[in-house]
Formats: sequence, C-alpha cells, structure tokens
Amino acid sequence: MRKKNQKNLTHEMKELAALVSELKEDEVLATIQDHIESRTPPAELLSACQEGMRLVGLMHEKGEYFIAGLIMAGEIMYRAVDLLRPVMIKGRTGENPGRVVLGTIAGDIHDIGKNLFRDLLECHGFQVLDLGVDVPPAEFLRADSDFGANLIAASALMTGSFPQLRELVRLFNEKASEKKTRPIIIIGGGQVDEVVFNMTGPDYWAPDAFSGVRLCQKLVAERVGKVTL
Amino acid sequence: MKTVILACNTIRDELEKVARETLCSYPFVWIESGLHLRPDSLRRRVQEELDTLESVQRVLLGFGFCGNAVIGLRSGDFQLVFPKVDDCITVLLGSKESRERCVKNGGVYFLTKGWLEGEANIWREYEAVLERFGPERTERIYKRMLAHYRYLGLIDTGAYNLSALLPLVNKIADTLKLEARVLPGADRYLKKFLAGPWDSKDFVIVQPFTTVDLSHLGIDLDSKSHPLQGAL
Repeated sequence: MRKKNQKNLTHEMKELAALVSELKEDEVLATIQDHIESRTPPAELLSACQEGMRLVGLMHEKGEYFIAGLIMAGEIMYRAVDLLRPVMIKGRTGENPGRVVLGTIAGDIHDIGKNLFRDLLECHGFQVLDLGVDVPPAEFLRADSDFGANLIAASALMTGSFPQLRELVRLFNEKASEKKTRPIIIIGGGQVDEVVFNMTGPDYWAPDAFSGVRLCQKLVAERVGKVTL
Repeated sequence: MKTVILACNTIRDELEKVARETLCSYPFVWIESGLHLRPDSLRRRVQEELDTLESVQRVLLGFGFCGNAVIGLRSGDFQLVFPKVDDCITVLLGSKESRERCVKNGGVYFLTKGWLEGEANIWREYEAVLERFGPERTERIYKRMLAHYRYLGLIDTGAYNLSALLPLVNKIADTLKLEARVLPGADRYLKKFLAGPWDSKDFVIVQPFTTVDLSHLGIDLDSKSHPLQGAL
C-alpha cells in the first residue's frame, strides 16, 4: 500500500517528500507555497508530506534521527498544514465531516502524535475538541455530553495507561446502556497494536496520525457515526 | 537455583552497589544503554542474550516494560523475572507511590548519572540538535518536547557523587527552562529485585518456554466484544 503511494507521487512530490525527510523546514514551506500558487491539488501536497514523514519514521527506527528529529518533522507538518488548511477548507463543499473528542489517556503525557492527528483532522474539516494529556476516562464522557462527538479518539504510549483505555470504553458502554448508542471509539499511539486493541475493547485502532485520519474519513464517508449496542 | 542478571547499563551503578550490600553473587550481563528509545531494537538485543544462556534456572531482567520492549520476549529453559514497572525510574525511586509523589506538582524529566553517561541522553541530543537546527528551531523543538515537564529531577540513588553532577544538571535545567530538583532514591525495589521474594505485586514472573504478553504485565486479555472491528 505504502509502496504504491510512493510510486504514485510525481517527481516534484517525491522531491517535496525528500525535503520533509531531510527536515528542511524553510524549503518545504516555500515549495508548498509555490505549489499552492500554481494550484497543485492540496491533497497531493499532503500525500507528499505524509511520505516524507514515513521516511522520517524509518530513519528514527534505524537510529538516524533522535526523538527531536520526529518533533522537527512534526513542526514542519504543523506549519505545512497551516498553509494547506485554508486551501483545503475552501475546496470543500461545506459538509461537516465529523466531530471528534480527542486526548491522551490518563497516566500518560505523550502528545506528539496526538497533536499531529488533531491538526490533520482539522485540516480535513473535522471539528475537534482536544482535551490535552493525562485525561481521565470520565473527562472524555463529560466533554462528549456537551460537544456531541461522533468519534472519540484516545492515545496512549505508556503500557501502564492501557487499562485506562479499557475504562474509557466501559464508561461509554455503560452510559450508552439507555440510549443503546455511543460514539465510535478509536485508540492510537506508538505502542498500540492489535493486541492492545483486543485487550481494551474500542471499535478501531490506528498505528499513526495519518492512518487515523484516513480511518475517521472512511467512517464518516460510510456514515458510521454511532455504535449501536 | 542458578541465576543470571541481565540488566540495562543505565542502572549499573545502582545494581552493583546493591549487589555489594546484599552480597549478591549472581553474574551480571549488561545491555548497552539507549536501546529503550527503540523498543524493537531493545527486544531483539535482550532476546539475543537470553538465547545464549545455558544451564540457567532463573534470569532476573533488570528492565522495566520500556515501551513494551518486553512484550514478545521468550524465556528458554528458565524462569524470567522482571520488575512490574513502566520503566526503571520507578525502581530507583523505590515504588510507584514515590514516583506519583514526585510528579504530583508537575511533570519530571528524571535523570541519574547513568542516564547522563548513556549513549543517547537528553543533553547529548540537545547539543546535536542545536548544532543541526540552530537556536530558534531548537527552542521550538524542546518547547514541544518538554511541554508537560516542569522539573529536571536528579535521583539521588546513593550510587554516585551527587555534588559532582549538580553543575551540569543545573546547566541542563537552565537551558531547557526546567527547575532542577534532587529527588531521594530508595533501594527497596532494587534489593528485592536481587534478593527476592519475587512476588506478583512487584514483579512479572514468566515460566520457562513462555512468550511474554500483556497478560503477564498484569493487564487481562479477556476477550471483548467489538460492535465494529479492526484497523484501517
């Protein structure tokens, strides 16, 4: 899948991806600005940035980048998204794709991926309520009762915080026992995988911010707004 | 029962001190520091060492969960025992309760001499980042990286000369806009790790020829019903 995406990038977009992977912020932003002015579709630019981020991730795995490299890549993405957001919002037909309550679950303060996920969601028109870090499951529930989300997204990196993800699901299921419906619950984070997903009981999981956004878009496109219990 | 200790070099000073005090004579095998930054690499490295052990009945693994690095480890013909903690900071502070007390007024970036001497540590990384990205971007990176940290906490484990390290710790704290603090360490957990008893409250005990999964870490794996399923 990823190889196919990479293959589909034009030469210019591959160059943009390379600039992202080399963490050349000024060059990335200038290139994106030029492309916006020459009306390159913003989705293409975003795909190129995504490919660049994937390369950064690989370099981190190989030990070529420290955590700071990942954060710098995130900084570049935030600024790239800032440039692309108005163009993407302008290009949309006005339909609101969804409302997401988001936070890093209690016991954990890691938020680099969570913040990137939030910015990408907003870039794609989602209305996002970010509760921040170390958020108790009950706080998600309280926030949702005011905000009316159709998606709840919780991230976790620390193993010890995984039981809180389960508690989050339990609380929403308990609350939904009268109405028989609740928002869809998605989890994500560096160590979240199929095992953690099975253990904690949400509806979906995503391994990174980009696939998380694609998942949210897919769910909204399929009009899966609530889970019926 | 023949026992071997396979432990992270980051906590070598502390383990060797407690081993001397408790007259622990188990042989040590040290794993280089810094691998916890990439849990898959740490898992492979630890497994590599586990696979070479022969005629051993118990391995004391001197690591925390380290970003789930312990998940997937396989014991051989020996029992595997490791602390039931997210990382070794809790071990050096003595208990989860001590750690909770340390962070109740704000996030703490914990340090010991072992961390500052490790192959990858916050100060070496800072200097490399500054050289590559310059002061403005470095400030942005660290503002984001340390957004939820208030203190730089040097743990006084009693295993090294604290006053010799303080000037460097103060310099790091000033540079990173954190408040330097000295936090009292405790050797209760380390002593129990070396001498037992290895109870399930403080330790994960994995039987021979078993692969570690989340259930071993005290997190149940009972099946859940999923109204919807899977990842994208």
